[in-house]
Amino acid sequence: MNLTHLTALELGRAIASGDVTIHQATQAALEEIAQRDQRLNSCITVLAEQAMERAEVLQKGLKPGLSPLYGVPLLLKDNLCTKGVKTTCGSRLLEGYVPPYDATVVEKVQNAGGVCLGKGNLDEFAMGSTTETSYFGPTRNPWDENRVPGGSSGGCAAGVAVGLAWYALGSDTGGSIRQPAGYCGLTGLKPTYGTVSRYGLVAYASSLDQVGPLCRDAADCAAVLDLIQGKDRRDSTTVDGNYGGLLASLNGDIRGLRVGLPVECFGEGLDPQVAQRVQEVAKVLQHRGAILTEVSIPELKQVIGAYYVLASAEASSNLARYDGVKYGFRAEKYKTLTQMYENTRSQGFGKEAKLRILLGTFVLSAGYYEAYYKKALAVKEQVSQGLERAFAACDALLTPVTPNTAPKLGESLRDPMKMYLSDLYTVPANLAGLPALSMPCGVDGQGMPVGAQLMGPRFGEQLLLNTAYAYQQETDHHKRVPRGGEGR
Amino acid sequence: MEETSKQVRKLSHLARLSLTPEEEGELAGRLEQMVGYLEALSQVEDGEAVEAPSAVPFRPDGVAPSLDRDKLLPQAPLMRDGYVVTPRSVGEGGEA
Repeated sequence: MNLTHLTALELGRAIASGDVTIHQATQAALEEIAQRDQRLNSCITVLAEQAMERAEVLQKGLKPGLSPLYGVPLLLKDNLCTKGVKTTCGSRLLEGYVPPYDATVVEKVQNAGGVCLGKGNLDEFAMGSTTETSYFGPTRNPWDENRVPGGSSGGCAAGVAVGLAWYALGSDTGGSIRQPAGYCGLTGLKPTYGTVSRYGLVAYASSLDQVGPLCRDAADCAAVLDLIQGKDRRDSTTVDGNYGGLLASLNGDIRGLRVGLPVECFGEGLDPQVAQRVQEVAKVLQHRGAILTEVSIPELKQVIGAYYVLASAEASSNLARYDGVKYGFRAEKYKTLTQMYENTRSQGFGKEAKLRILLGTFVLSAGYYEAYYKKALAVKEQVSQGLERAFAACDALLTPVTPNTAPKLGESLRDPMKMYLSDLYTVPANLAGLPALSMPCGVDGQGMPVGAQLMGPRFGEQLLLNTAYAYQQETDHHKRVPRGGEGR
Repeated sequence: MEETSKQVRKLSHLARLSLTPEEEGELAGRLEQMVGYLEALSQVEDGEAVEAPSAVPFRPDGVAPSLDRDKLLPQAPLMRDGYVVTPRSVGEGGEA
């Protein structure tokens, strides 16, 4: 049995039954990291010693009735604060930052017996779709090391795909869980806004950010969301989603489920191979008893512009805190306070972060606020209404995750507009605060994974996970592993 | 382009960023491209005024432990006698 190819739940069961020790699992993952990660660069920090120590402690506490993920090692995106462990956000500005507290989701996975193996690489401050803007260098896609893993949770996605960990927690502001999951052949979920606490998640665009799981299949996603969801007094946007047990509710019965295919998501710019794979998903769902229906949501036309206005505006405000005063990097040379701020920020932020700060400052400045920011808010509202109308006619929407499969390294840096535009299928769920799931549905002609997205109404996580679960009962795309690994 | 560069200088001052001439040139070009793309938003109907997000319910105002000052202070890049050190903030010109 190759441990690193098991799903998180399979490993959890093997640990609970005593077939595998937590020490063995942690050791196997750390060996994999040692062998593969110098090349992939999935992890900014590897916690080898701490993970082994924790494995020993957890093994002693093993008893019946614990979490199904007890003892299962994981990766955390490096924008989730970890007490006593560096949290860099992929930026020079936080290169040496060691938080004095854990994010709520970190506490939750630890309370459930998680073993944190390391901190996953990401685009600087989660700003990007390729993990190439990280101060700590790009992550490579394990399916083809000349290609990007997607982003911004690219380190976590590449790591789980290649077997460095059994699951990961990422964050999704405009597709940062779903898109790398799609590019790396994983199942990833952005929950409904408010479902998961962001306390301890370094803020990018607070009206859009959500924490969620990157896993090998839908059942693992359900198990992780069961652990991390819930109201948190330290994040006032959280709500009690009353999900019950998501994992326990998976039965694969989707008979009568109305699945909508938005015509706007299958038009110009979509790679025909991606379109074909997603249409095949529709057929599989239909075979399981779902009813397919075509829907139209014309409001989706302006989503990219609105997203980049809102996200950049919020980023320019959120990133104002990095001034070199209380924590993080401070420039060495300055005379006045203003110089200290300017030099610190200029030397600390990378190019993409600077661009988004400038764009955000622009759209919020006098004379432009009405023309850009207010219009973007209007689009956000219209998209929410359009999706609400669609969900009156269907229960879930099926779309591609991205128009193409993973681009080559460097391609997106040369043509960033193309990269921004490739977010068009993922950002609507963030603008409307809705849950959306990405799952693998085959490969293209180059052998690169294609992702299909399921979007649901507010608090529709159970429906999405069960639909993906039904799909994965019929197919084995989620079981394929990148080159270099054996079939799971 | 000169107009854009001028605007980038103004924006970078507002955002407390000092850009090198190379950065300024590159970011001006990219910003111009993005703002050009965003022009499409002007066609968007304002519709009904977008309401401010509904206020979240207040939590009970209970006393709870906060982060430990002694653990937070060492995070500061420059600290002296338990204080964070910066150049003077009233008037400018003071040195750290």
